[in-house]
Amino acid sequence: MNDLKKIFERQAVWQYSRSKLAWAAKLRLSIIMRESLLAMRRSYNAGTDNTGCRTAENRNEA
Amino acid sequence: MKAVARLLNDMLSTNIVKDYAVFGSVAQMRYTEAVVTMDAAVLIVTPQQGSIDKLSPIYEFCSSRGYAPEGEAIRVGDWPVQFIPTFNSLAVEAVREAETGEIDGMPLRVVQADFLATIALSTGRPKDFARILALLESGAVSSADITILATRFKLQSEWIKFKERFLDE
Repeated sequence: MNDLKKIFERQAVWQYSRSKLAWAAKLRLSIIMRESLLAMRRSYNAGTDNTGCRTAENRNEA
Repeated sequence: MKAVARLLNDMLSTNIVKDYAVFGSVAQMRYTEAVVTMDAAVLIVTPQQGSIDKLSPIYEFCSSRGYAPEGEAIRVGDWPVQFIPTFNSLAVEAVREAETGEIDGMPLRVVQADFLATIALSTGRPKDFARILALLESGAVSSADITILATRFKLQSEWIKFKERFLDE
């Protein structure tokens, strides 16, 4: 339990540090996140998820 | 975003807009972690406030700089930019009280955290509520700050509901 608490505390510190990045750096990160999301959506719509596996919907059709 | 900042500042210096300030997720990221967003939203005050078509001069200016419309936005580099004329007294004051931030050495006017949270409160979508919580958690704004603006702009009941639902107050 103590280990878990330490992990969460470290995660909180890490998350807080990310919010302290420069505004421009966070905006650049946001663009990367957006491109990743759009790529995942495209993969999903094409019948695979981002790992290349067929989606549940696609499997049902097969 | 540097190209967006340059375009907005050029609009300001040529009086295409009287004032502007980025808001929404782009403004939020000044205070919180990076979040996913599809576009950049910009509040604008135009010289012809009474005009029905406030956006035509904006679109013409963007076109003259080689930036084309993309849906409801104008594509400026990596960012689709949505220009939103100030729509109520809260938005007008949010632009008036905006701060000047900096993107890679380029000034960019940005709505302050307390106005950002109060605009989100007035809009009231789930993602707006998430924005208020993120701003509170970051320490950029306090519950007391929002209370002051919510009272001034007649959003007390929305703020009380929000606090009951999310802040256990």
